[in-house]
Amino acid sequence: MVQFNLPDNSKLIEGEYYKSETGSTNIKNFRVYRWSPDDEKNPRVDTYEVDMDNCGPMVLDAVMKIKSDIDPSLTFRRSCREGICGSCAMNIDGTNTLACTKPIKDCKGNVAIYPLPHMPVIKDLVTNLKNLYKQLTSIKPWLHITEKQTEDGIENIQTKNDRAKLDGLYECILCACCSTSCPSYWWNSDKYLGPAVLLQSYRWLQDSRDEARSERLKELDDTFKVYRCHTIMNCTQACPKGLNPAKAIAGIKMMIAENRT
Amino acid sequence: MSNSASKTWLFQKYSSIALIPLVSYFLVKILQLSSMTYEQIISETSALWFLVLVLIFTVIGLLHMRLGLHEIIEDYVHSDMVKKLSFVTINLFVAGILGVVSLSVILICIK
Repeated sequence: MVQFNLPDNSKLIEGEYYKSETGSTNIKNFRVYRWSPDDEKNPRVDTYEVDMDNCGPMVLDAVMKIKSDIDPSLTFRRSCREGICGSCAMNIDGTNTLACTKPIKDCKGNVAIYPLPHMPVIKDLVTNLKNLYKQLTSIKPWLHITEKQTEDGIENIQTKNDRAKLDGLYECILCACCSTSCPSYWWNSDKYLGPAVLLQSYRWLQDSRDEARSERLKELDDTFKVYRCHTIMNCTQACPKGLNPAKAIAGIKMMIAENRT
Repeated sequence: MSNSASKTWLFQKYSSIALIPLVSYFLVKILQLSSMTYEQIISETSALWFLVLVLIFTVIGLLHMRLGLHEIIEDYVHSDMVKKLSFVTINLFVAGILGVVSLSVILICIK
């Protein structure tokens, strides 16, 4: 059944308060989720005062500043700092997004930073996304073509219109903001593929060069893999790249229905 | 189970579309009936086409409800035991209501 209460050792407690030593008057508080596998302590929320006069504009700038100037033990993933690698996906101000493209000034008052919801936490803001990658592998996210099509050595072309069908799909960076914002994925992530993987799936279903469409659709025609989506649309609201996974899932449902006849 | 998923989804869409006119009709009808005399109500509700509509509404409505409840159980109940038990309960409930409604319709027809 659904668990209504957290186990005692998972209950969130108030953590340290790190007062700014800069003497600045332009201070913003960052409240950050902390948990370490190395001790037996409960997860806690630490508060960091950050001097906004000496900080970059994005939440990631502040998080990196905390790590370098205040508390080097703070753990998080980041790489490109420009919204293309998807590493710094976290829950900021109640919404899953990329810390590197989220302006601090968009957050009113304190900035609350948590790991992606309902994922196993490895440490602090780093979550375990193994399950998502396994599900991505399961949909075979690559072009399926017969040898005959490739052996003549001619470029495998598609029309401009066919190429345009991939717009809004190929841009996905697999940051997992959408899947981890989806209640259906929270309750059934072991069997439901989730918006990120289904958007990828739709990207290959829409590719005019792909020859495995029918098999892909048969594979997806399952009570759990696709149909746990109840068009809640948190995915579309969360996507930091402005994509629409909910629409892609609706498209998959239509394609499966058409494929049956 | 796997091949029935899209069928289930399609049925849910079609039945919800069918329920829009049916529910609106019965809402209006109930309001009308509320201002009639006993004899008028008897003659209105024992018309054959009305009974057919009641049957269609009951069947579609119940199947739609059954699917919706199944979806909720699939979402939240993870224990196989409880899941099966819930499905059986829902099916019994649906069959019970369907039985009562069909029986009433038959009784009215015989009279």
